[in-house]
Amino acid sequence: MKRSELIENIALKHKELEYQDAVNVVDTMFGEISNCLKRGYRVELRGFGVFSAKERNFSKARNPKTGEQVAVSPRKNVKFKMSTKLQGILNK
Amino acid sequence: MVQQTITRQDLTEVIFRKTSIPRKLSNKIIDDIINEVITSLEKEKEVKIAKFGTFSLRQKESRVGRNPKTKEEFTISARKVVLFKPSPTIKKYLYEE
Repeated sequence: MKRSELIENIALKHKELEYQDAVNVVDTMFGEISNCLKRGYRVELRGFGVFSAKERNFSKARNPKTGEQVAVSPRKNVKFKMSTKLQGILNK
Repeated sequence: MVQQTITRQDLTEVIFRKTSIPRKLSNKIIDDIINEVITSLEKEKEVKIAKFGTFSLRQKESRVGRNPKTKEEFTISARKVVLFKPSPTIKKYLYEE
C-alpha cells in the first residue's frame, strides 16, 4: 500500500471529508510524527508501536572498493518498535 | 534521561489546529490510518508512506533465548515482526538544523 492508496481508503471511509482533507490529515499526521522525532520526543501510538529517533555520532568507515577511510557524518535514525498488541494481531 | 512522549491525543490536536477538522473526527481518522496500515501488514503487504518510511514484515525463525537474570533457557517461538525503514527524506529532515 502506498501513501496515495492510504489516502484513497481514508477518503472512501469518510464521505463527509473532501478528498483534499484526507490528503491533509495523512500528511499532517506523518509530518507531525517526523517533527516530534526531530525535536527529540518519542511518539507512542497505542496498539501500534513507538517511534523514536536515535542520534549517532561521527564514525569512520572504509570504502570497500578502494580501502580508503571515509568519515560518516553524524545522523539520526528512526526506530520503530511494534506494540505487543500488534504482534498478537500479526501472529494469530 | 526521561524522554517526553507524544501520543495520539497530541497528534489529534495538531490535526485539529492545522486542518480545522473537529477533534473527535481527527481522532477517528488517526485510528483509521493506523488500522489501514495494520490491515495491509496483516495481508503481508508492505506499506510505503512517501517522505516517511516503509513498514514491512519479516519472518523470524524460532530460536533459543535465555533469561539474562536466571540463565534459564527457553524457546522464542517463530514470529512475524514489523520492520520500519525510514525514508532518506525523513533522515535528512531529522538532521537538518
